[in-house]
Amino acid sequence: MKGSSESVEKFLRALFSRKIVVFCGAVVILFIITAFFAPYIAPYDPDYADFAAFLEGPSKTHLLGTDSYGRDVLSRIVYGTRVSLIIGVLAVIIACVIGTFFGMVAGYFGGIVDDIITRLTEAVRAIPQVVLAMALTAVFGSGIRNLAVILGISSMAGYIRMMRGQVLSIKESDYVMAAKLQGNSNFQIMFRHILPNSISPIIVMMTQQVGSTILSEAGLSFLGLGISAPTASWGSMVSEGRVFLLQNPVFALTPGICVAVLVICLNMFGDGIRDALDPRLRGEL
Amino acid sequence: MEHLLELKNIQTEFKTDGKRVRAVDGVSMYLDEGEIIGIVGESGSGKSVTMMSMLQLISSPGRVTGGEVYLKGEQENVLNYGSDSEEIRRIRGGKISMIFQEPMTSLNPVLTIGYQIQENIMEHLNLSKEEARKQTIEMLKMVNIPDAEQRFHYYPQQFSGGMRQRIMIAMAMSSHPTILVADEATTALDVTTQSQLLEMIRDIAKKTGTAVIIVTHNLGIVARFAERIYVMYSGGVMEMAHAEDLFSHPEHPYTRALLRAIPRLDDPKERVLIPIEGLPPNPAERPEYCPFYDRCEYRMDKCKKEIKPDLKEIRKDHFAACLLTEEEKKQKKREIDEKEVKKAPLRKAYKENCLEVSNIKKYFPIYKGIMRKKVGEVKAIEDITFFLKKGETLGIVGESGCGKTTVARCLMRVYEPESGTILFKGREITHLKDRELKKIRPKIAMIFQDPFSSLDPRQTAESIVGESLKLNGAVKTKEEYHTKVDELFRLVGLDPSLKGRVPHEFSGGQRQRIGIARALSSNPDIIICDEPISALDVSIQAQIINLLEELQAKLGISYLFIAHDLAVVKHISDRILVMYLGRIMEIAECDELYNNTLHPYTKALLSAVPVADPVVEAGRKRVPIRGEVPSLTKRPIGCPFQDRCEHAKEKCREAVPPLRDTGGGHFVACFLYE
Amino acid sequence: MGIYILKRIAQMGIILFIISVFTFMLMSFIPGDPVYAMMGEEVSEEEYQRVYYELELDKPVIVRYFSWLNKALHGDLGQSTQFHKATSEVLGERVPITIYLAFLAFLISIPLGILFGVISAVFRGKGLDNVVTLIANITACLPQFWVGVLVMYVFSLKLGWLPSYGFSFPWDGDIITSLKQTAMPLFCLSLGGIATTTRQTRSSMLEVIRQDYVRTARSKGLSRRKVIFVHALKNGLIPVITILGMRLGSMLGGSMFVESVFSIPGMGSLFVKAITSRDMPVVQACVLITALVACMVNLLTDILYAVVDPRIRVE
Repeated sequence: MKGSSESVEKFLRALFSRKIVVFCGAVVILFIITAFFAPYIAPYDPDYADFAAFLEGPSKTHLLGTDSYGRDVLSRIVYGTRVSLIIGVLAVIIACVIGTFFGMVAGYFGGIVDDIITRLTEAVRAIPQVVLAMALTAVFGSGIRNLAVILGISSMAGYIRMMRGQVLSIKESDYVMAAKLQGNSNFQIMFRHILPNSISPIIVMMTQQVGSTILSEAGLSFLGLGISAPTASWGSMVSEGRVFLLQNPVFALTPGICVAVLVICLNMFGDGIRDALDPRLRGEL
Repeated sequence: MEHLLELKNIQTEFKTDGKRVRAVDGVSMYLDEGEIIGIVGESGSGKSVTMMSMLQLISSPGRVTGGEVYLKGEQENVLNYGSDSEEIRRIRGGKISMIFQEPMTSLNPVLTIGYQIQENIMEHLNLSKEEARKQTIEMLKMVNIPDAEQRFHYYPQQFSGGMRQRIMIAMAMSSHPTILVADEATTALDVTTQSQLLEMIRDIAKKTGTAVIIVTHNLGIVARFAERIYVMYSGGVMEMAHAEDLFSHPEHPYTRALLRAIPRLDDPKERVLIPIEGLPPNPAERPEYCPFYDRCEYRMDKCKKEIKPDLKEIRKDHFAACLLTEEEKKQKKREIDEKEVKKAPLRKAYKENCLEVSNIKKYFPIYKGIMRKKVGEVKAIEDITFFLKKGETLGIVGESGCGKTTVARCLMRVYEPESGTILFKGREITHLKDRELKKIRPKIAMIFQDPFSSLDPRQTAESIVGESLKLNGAVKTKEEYHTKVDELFRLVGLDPSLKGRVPHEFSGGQRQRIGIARALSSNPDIIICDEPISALDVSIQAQIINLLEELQAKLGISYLFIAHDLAVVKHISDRILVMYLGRIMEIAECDELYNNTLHPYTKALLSAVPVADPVVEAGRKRVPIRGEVPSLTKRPIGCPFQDRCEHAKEKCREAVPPLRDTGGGHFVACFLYE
Repeated sequence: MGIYILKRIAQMGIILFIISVFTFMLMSFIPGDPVYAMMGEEVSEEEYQRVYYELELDKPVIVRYFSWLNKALHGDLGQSTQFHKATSEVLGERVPITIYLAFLAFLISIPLGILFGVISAVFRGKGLDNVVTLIANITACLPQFWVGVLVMYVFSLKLGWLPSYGFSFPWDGDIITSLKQTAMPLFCLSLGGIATTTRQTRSSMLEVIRQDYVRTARSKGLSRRKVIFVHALKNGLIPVITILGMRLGSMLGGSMFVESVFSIPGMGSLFVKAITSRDMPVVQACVLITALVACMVNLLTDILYAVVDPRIRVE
């Protein structure tokens, strides 16, 4: 399927016409580069413990000081970027693929299949997302891979709901009826006509979910339920550092700032994409 | 003489995608006391925006950039008042009231209708709440809302579209305005409701001395109701004249072209529509010269050299914005008339029936409660019997809820009828299963109403047109596929080099051509056209009608042409089938139906359709019709039309009149002709 | 309207049933032998048998579920394996604290969020709107635990104004102490809620302002104030109301972090401890209770929704 180059161009122009969106996009890319080239950017080995220099304040040798084991805080933050982004992206992909599929099936076939999926989704949505993720860690345990799966599962309901709504409205459109009359099978209609037309809301939802997944990961790690020592993760760093607030506040506070900046930029960039995809909003901004 | 309202050189801009678009480009008009004027124009001509600009209702990203508005009793230019000032608010709703197009969304869903009217009265007439309430009920009674006292406390969603528009009229008139603007106020409604409401507006206005501005795209409506008419095109006024004068002696080439392009109910059968070629200019790239130049048959070199002409008086009270002199126009007219006028394409008449439908029924179950228990049925269509000959066009007309779309979907076998038979070329297809249906499907194709929603926005024109070729194995090689697609493109008058584009890169008319190409791709015997032109502008409609007629002559296809616009149906069809509330009322040859109308419903329906000619309009006899089309669930026992029919007798309330042949293939379902 | 509420209650029943199944299954999802998972590997044969029968592991899963459900409905959620007490006893003192905090934060954040959202929508595109939107966008993304650590650093450690830990109800003694203790936790909990509600109210109001009926209201010459507060606000608040239940849910979720930061002996800190020590009965109880509270609020908002929106009230 060929997309229209003109509409892509229009979209990009709308996206980049706002300085704040460009800025946020640049920051996100900066974080991605950091995660990718962590070994080259980090000044020290994140796990190297210099017992002679624990809980030091910022200095020329340790730009953000050291933690309670004498590890370089900056290096650990750089490596923490990896954990956050990997989990954020993986979880969103898991949630999106499974959620979109079930949402599509529920919306398209309706009836009892729809009833079952919808009720299950509602039940999952009734449990606060953090609580659900926590309960799942009790079962699956932690670690990067498990965490990605857990966060993926716990944010799946949103995709199901969104996709179901999409399908329900698209299903009634004349072009789906036309496709049916042309002799397309259900499978062909779902994947050739409905899915491509739901792509923009899915993309918007994904960009917005990466941020909130990163937040959840940091939260779980902060509670000691996510990434465990000695792997560097922003959430667990804040948790370790809060005991030593008086000695080196930079240790506890900077990882949190990183979470906040990354998530804010991701969300603003996501909003930018949403607005650029919505022709109605394009003119107004 | 001082005018009641005068607009001078209004200019309004919108900003989209960073570009400035002049939606209204220097419009001047006036209105005298008690007068009814019409503003007629296609979508995008700036007619509604002009009205909104006058009241400063344009909101961001739009802006009124210039012009003056003078209203009798106001000392200065109304546009100088702030957009939220005390002064403009006194005018809005107080001196100038407005009724909008969408009755379903124009009333606030969380406030009672009584409150919404009462609020308007209290705002402008300084009455106490109790007095305002009394007046509200008076107003509701005036627009014939039954049980006004109780209905005061109802919410908008408890009313039908027609009722809501009555409520809007009551609200607009409640503050005793001097001017009422009806902005496409009846466009979304059925023909019979439309004429009822417009007559009501006219009667109330004449009684109260209110001046009315009717904004519409429908030339028939202005011909019937307006005393003076402004014709707008691409953000400017092209022509202004008294109604009779405008229709009998149109001066502007656009008005002339428009009248040649629209079908009329009183047309002779052999009339050929002459479409206006091309498209209105994109308002963002409107030229400095006359905006109609590119489509104008009268154009001369000087038109392109000079800037857009202003309105000038051609004779008394008749203005047109054209550079050509009378002599030049006469000369051009002669040239145009001499040019070979296209004849209606010759069609072969066949004897054999392509489709025979007898007694089909379709009921839809109603579910209620948590357990989805079936509590009843909506009887969408009942006892539908007709036939369609090869190469013939059968028009199906009727108002909303009459079941015309359900009939189409049963024939397409999207629905399976409860009972009855459908014979396609002698073969029974009523209860075929999916696998056998797949072989029949390509032979019965469909053209949809909305060219926007009927084409998958993510597919290219090529794959839309070629999809069925691939799916049904009609082509073997890639070359064959491309040759066939190109051929289909040319057949519907599209350039095959455009086939890589996606639907939104085409205009509405082009999109409908793609839809037609798609329907043709499977080489069908029948094409079901479900309102194929009602979403298009009048100047484009003629192009599509002509295309359909040519294709039929060339390929010998049968059409089932479903529409609510009687004039169009009458123009294109050989025979017409009239439906009401799920049943057939009358079937007859076109001219027979028009000249020898039998069923009281058909009479009312025909009489409700306005003809774009004030002289003809003045001479027509009006058949009044009571009430509105009821919902299907409230269909009366007996003849479905009985409670709106003047001739209803005891018998009509007891039994459903059968469809009988009165001779010469003229069928009618009415006890009057037994 | 009565039918509508009954329908909602029935739906809530189904949802709670599904949640109870899910919660019950948490136990069986644990990899390995559930007895070992509960008691540790070094359990005596005798002890093993006792627990095995106590958990009714010899019976089919359906039977176990209904016996568990029956007990749960009578308030018996099993024995906590880390405290060796009845779960209900362990939770008894802690749940009210969490619910108190979450509800208070809910009551603070919703009106403020709506207020800021409406202000922002009314002044769309102007300076005030830009400031409010920017602040809301940023605060909605701040990690709650980090905000907690930050305010603790500033107000307790640096300025010494507020205590960094502890909790007491205002009716249990000194109101001032209670207020001082809960000030920072409530601030952290409300902040995100205010931001999200502000954003949502704003976008919903902007959507409504575009509607045809608002244009009708303006064309009647009503003042801007009347257009916004009579015609737009009620419609604009409907989407905000529909997800109030989720808002409360996120408050309950947030209390996990806040209780951890400020060492508050509520359900959240218990939950965390139960997960790390695999105390499944307590985990189950915590999930059930949060879901139950969230569902109740959902039901209340559904009723409120029907009161505001006549489209639901009248057929």
